[in-house]
Amino acid sequence: MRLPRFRAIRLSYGCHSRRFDLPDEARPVVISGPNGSGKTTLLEAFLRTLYGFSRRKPEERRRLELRHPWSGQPVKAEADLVCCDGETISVSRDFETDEVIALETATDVEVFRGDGNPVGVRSESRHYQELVRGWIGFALLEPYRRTAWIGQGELVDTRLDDELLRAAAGSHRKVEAALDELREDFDRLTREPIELGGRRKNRLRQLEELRDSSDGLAGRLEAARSARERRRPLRDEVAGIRERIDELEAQIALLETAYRPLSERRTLIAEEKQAAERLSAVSDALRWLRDADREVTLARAEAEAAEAAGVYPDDLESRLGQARALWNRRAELEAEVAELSAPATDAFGAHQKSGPSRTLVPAGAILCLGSILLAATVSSSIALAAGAAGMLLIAGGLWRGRGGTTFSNEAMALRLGREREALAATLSDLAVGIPGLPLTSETIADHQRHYRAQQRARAAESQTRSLFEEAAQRAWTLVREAASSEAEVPDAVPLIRHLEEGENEARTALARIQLRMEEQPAVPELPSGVEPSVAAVDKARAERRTERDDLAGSSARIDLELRDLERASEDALALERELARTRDIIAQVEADVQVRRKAWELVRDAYGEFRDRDQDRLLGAVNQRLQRLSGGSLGPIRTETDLGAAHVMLGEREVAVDSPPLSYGEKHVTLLAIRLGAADFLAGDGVRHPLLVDEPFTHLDEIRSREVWELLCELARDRQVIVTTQDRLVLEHLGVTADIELTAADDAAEGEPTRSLRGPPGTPVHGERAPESMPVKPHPESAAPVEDDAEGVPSTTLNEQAQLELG
Amino acid sequence: MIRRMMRILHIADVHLGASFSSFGPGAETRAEQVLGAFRHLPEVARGHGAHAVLVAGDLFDSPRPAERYAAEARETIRRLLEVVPAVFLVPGNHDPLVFPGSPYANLPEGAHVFGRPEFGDPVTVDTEAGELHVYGMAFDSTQSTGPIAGFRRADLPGVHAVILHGAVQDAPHWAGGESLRLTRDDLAALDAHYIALGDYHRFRPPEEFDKDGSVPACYCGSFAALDHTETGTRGVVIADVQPGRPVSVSLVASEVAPLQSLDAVDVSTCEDDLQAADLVAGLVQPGSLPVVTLTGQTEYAVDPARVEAELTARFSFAHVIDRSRFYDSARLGELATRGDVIGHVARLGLSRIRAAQGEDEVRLRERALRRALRAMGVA
Repeated sequence: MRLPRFRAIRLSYGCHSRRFDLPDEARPVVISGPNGSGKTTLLEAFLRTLYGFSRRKPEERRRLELRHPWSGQPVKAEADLVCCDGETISVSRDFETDEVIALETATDVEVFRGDGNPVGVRSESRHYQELVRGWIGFALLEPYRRTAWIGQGELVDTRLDDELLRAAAGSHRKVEAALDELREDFDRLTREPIELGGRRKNRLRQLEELRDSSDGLAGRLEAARSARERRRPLRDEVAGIRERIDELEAQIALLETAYRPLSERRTLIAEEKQAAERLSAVSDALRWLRDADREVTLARAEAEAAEAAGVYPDDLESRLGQARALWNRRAELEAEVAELSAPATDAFGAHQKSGPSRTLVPAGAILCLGSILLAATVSSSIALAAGAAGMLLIAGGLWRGRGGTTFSNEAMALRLGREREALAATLSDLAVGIPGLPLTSETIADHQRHYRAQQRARAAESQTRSLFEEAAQRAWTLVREAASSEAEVPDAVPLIRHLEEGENEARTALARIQLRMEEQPAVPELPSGVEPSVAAVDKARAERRTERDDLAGSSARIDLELRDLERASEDALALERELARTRDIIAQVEADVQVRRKAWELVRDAYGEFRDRDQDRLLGAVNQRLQRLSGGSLGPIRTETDLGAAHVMLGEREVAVDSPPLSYGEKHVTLLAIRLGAADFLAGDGVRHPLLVDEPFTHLDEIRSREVWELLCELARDRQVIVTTQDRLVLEHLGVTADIELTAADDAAEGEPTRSLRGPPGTPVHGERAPESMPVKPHPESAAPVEDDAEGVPSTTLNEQAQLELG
Repeated sequence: MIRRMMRILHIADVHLGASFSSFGPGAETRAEQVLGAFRHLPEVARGHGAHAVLVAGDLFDSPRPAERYAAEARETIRRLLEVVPAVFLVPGNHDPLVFPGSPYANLPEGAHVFGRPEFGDPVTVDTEAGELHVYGMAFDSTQSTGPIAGFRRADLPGVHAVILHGAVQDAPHWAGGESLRLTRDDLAALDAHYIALGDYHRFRPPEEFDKDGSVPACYCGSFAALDHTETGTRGVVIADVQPGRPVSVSLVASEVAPLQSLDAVDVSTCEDDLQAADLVAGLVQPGSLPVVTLTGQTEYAVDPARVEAELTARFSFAHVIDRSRFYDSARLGELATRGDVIGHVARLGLSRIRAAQGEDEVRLRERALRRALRAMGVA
């Protein structure tokens, strides 16, 4: 509980130009004096010193005018005040300028100097108002006047305006501060509005930043996991590739293992083939040579057999031709001779004579030609003989043709004889060298047959020899290298011997190759689909090498990709931890947000509940006082709206507060109860403002006066109560001595305090002469005490029982 | 030839480079303390006569810690190798080898890191206590398939030890994650004389795996508490291993201040947070850091943040969990009788708490009431 109170006041204000000190006791401070002595002015001065006058309102300006001292000095006042926090300050106001100086009296430290304009809007004025609020509970005069100021017979507006209710809310300022604190606390945590329908703030706060951070972390974690997931198939792929590469390497190794024996085998096969071919060639050559040799031998034998009877001359055919011609001539000669020896006529004698002559010429020509041929081919002598015979035949023919008739038979016979001899000689010459049978027209066929047989045999021999030579040449080609000889083809026998040696060598070579083939290692089992051949193995090996190299390239690419992924990827676990930690913090912050929102809502709702019962509590406080002041004869007060329209129960009747049925005393008590109740109501804020009561005993009888006094004494136990009264009789009746007694004459006296020092035993004497600096000569007008405020609020009717609910 | 009992220093989950963010303003100090304690590992190994050191993963807190931590680890391992013939390491799930620049690279000679994702042949080292054959693998969920199936114990005389970093059945993280997951049968099938496990941050001796000692596995727990959940003694395990005999393990505390769990401190008698902090402080063992749960029916609205701040000022770290109840207090009842706004707040707050469904909602609303009253100036 805070108990601000006034300790003293020094005035140059209205009729007062002096200092008044107030007792610090738990009883009402009584200011007494006759009408016009300035009691109300003094009472008012306490508040005006703090709050001043509002220059905006004419009535306030007029009122200030009335407070000018008669001396013409400016209106000034200085009040000593024990504040809510227990500190004592001295507040002096120059009412002309509204400058206020506030000093801490204990330290003499100036806590304020500046504009104390009560309605000022400058920060300085507002600061002062806040200071005043802190000192005494109200920042402004008006709420004070309507509650803790109880004017003479007035009921200042008791409507529960916001300022009053705020004050009456007890912890209202705490409520606002609490709500502000919770809201600020909430706002630090989140941008969301604390109340439904509120406006979301633009700037991100802790919660949103955390959520953003969480989202970012979640995204990074997802990316890291994705990278990890992408690595998995890549690793699988690489593993598969490496497995395949291993498989290929194994197959390649296998193929390479198989390749050598296969290659060697292929070489051996080739060698075998070559050897076989050579063997075959040599064998063939040998066989052919032998055959040719045999053929030559046979042909030679046949030729020799054909020539056994002798060798026909090569011109046999020519000779035989000549012989035939000669034989024919001889036959003709014979016929001519016979004709000559036995002449015969015929019808064609001329023709008979001329016939032989006609054949001589051709026969002679043939012989000549034949002789030429013979000369060219066989024998020049035979050719010469044949030529001569031919020439004779031609001459004989020509001669017989021109004049044979002139020859005689003898001559003819002679000539024929000589011709026959020439023929015989020629025939004899033609027969020279012809073996076997004599050459006759009968043997000519035989000679011709033999001759041809001989010719065939020779041709055959020549052919076989030629074949032999050919075979020998070929065979020699085969064996010449082995024989290390570049010499001419040897004869058959050495050649055959060479060939036989060559054949043996070839056979041996083949056998060796075949032996090597048999000794070759077995070819390992080849991969499926690969034929056991060098070509197939080579092809398969090449294919596998190509595939392996391709896969190695792919593996390298994937490795690079994996490295990139690893490089790019983040530590998922660290991100998980960071995310979990962030989410934990988010959960904590969200819980804190919830707590603050709920706390804020709790205070707001509780305050709302509290405010909903303001009227009830106010009426309860008022009725409590009315019950006490009226002794139960009045009340309760009821109202549907505000106290200005209140009704009060008078017995069984409910009457308006200002209605005629209420006596002056009853009305006064009612109004006093309303004001005291309002003061009680306001005391809920923990501040017991000094209660300033002007003429509380007016219109009251002795009993009610005592009840009022006792009530004021009761109130004065926990708050300062300053009471003015002009009623000495009541004071005497109550046995009360005024603490400050004013008289109009004393107040008019410059610098002379006028006071009554009467009081209970031990009551200190208060009041002293005003200091020099405070002119006290009152202005004639302003010195006039103001007993009643003309601007009082209309009376109210209290007619409804209120429910007291103060907890 | 085994001459005597082989003594193995088993360590895991040091998490060098961790942020220790749970320690708030003291995080950096905590990180330095952990690093300082890790530097003393060679002295610990020498002091206990260790024959080999097995590091079961998560030596580092991340795959790419600050170079400073990698350098400190290299230096400490180098000095360890002056005490023991070999240091064996497996990476953990926090510091896998999949990233370039792994801190496990360039470790001193004599330190063997099992970097393949499956078991291979053991690495053998000749110690004063005989031959030690160590098997290990760097689990990689993307590569390791049936990792245990690939284990083949070599037919060699001596002690056969396995290092693994993963979750064994019944561990809290068994159900999830991508860590190596092992069953007790898996461990039994390893047929090793000692299985040094990492990943689980609580010390778990062989008896917890199988009472008959047939599974000689052990989690050494974290080297030092990483956050407020890791209360109790933390450090390294000294395992005495001899074939044919049960493994004997003991947990040697690290020099880092442990977190002392004060599970239920009744603050009913306290009148304010300072008294509550005093009460808790009186229960904290010297050198420990409190992790306290406040309980009881208080007559004032406990502010756990203030209690924590007060304790933190005294111990450098504290974690306070508030389970005290205020809403049933006489003080709150008294407040609720007041006719002012505070009375309304108290009454309305209480009615809302009583209407709440579930413990969480009750706690939330009580927190709101406390916060509201604090805002209203009610201590």
